[in-house]
Amino acid sequence: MNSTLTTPLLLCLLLISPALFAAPSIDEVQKKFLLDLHEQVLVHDSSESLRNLEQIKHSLSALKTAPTQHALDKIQTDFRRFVGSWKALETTYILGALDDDYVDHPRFIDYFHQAKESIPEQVKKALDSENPLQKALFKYSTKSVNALEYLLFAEPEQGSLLQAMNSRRIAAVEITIDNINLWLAEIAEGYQSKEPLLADSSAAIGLLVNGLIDSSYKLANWRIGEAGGLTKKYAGKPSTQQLEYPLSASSYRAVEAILKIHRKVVDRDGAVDLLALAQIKNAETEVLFIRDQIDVALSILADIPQPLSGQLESEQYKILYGQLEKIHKAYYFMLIDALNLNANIIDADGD
Amino acid sequence: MPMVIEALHYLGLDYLFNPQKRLYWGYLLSSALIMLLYFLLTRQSVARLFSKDLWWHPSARLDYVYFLVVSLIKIGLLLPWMLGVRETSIWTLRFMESLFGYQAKIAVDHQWLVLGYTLALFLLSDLSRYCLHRLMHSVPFLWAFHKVHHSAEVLTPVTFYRVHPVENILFGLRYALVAGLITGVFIYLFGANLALMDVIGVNLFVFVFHVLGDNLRHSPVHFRYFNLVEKWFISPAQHQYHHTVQGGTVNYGGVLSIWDRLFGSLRCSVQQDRYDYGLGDEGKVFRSVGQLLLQPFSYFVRPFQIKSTRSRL
Repeated sequence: MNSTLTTPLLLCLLLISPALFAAPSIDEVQKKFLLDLHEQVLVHDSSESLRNLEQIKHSLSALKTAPTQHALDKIQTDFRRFVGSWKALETTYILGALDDDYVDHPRFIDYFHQAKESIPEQVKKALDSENPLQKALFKYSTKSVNALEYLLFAEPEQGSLLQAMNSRRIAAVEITIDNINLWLAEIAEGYQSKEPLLADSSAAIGLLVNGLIDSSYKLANWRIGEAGGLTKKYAGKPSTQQLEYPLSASSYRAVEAILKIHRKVVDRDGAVDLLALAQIKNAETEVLFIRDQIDVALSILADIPQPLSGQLESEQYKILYGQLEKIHKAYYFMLIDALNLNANIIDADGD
Repeated sequence: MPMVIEALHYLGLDYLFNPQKRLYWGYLLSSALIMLLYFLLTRQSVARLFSKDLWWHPSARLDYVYFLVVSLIKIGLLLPWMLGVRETSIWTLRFMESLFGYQAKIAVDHQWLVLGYTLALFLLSDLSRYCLHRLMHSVPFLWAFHKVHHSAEVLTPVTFYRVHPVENILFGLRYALVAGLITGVFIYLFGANLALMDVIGVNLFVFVFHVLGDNLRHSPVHFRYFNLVEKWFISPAQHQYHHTVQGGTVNYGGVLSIWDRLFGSLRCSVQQDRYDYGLGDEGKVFRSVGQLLLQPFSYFVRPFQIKSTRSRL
């Protein structure tokens, strides 16, 4: 090539090379983080929950056609699977914070730690009444996941559960599934648009982190601590009734699903995760610490025999509670360290 | 150059290159410019600013040596044991969670949140600095340590660091407690998205104060504000008056003088003020690094000795 051409060409290449190899800006990484989160977590979990609920509906039809123990076992298995996907969706739920129209959706689906009255008592009352079911089950709490658990798992005072699965109870299951499906479908639809998420990426990430902190507190204290009598409020009073899903023995699965979704947001292969975001914000150590604490919690949980109701007073259960508290604290440490306030300490001299 | 700065950082001597420090080159430069402007406007001779009597005064020379020794003490002995904002923030958070239960995070506009946090941190930090400074003067055993700072007979920006390590610990604890308390409360209420409104990593308000001639407080420039302004902000001249033999009972404020006004210790500067710094005869026992470090402890080993007659509240 002619040297009169190559020299300017090389100079041009030299000039544009920083642009070619320039690191992406923080805003670009944040947007990629949210896009990956949207596709791999939010949309995925809402679709998965809907799919699993559809499966329950499917199994219910089979139970209606042939009321066998096998059909009942199948629907119960489907319920437990649904709990896993629903807990994942609930943990990272930020739609309500992004759009007020969606703020109450999780409360219409799940009444754990919300209802003042006993949901099993209310549902039983509705089943025993003469009123049409649509009227008897007028409250959202009586059409929630917790109500569905009662309908699919609560043994009657006399006879077997299969015998208790009469047409009224099956109709109640249908009403409950329809209610949950209604809200889940709206959530899934709400998640279709990426715009609210990307409008202010810093704010959206802040909301997500707040959600994770919230979830880590509830996981440690509401879901594990209170049932084991380990919190201040319930100190020394372990009770299986304080577990999230005492009838279906799905509490273990719920805890596992929540921990796994935390792990997925923090660190997952082939995605811009919280760890990748932390790397460009010099907070890698804190996020790695969170990830390690989640891994420890998952391994402690794996050593606890199922169901949790039989383990409330075991040493491992207490260790799990302590470990979940550590995760909650680790999230706080991440926020505190990000403020970089310690730099001032030794120069805060007198005058 | 970056390697030198890094090495200085690890030795705790990166003062000129670290915006968190008062001796950061940018603040020194802005103070120098303000000083020049002040001298031009007041038609004073700048010659005395470069006087050997000031910069090579025995007290100033002691400041330089003491500064190096104490920097190493701070980085080697104090910093590893110092209570940090991290710990106090998490204590506050856990305390609030146990007292009031878990708080779902309140959604607030990011800009207001950052402004509120930065302002709260600045105001409460300044108030606590006033309180501790006043205690350093009014509690006899604390005064024994604070005398180290007041023993300077000439004031240069390095005099700011003529502080006993015990006082460093107390001011470090004050900062950790106040910043930890505010940070803990803000995270408890608002969670993520909390940030400091800063310029090159320094609280915006503190940065402004540093740029507006903070280093003139310890300097021979008696830079006065109008009295109306001095009722809100401590001027260099007000702080210099605090350093005089007769001025130890007034003007304890750091940045704001509203605390002095509120608690009755404000004195605005006047043209005729005389600035005789030091402790008078008492200052004779603070003439070496060893004396600066050890003399305060004599308060404890000689409990029946007649204590300083320096004014206290």
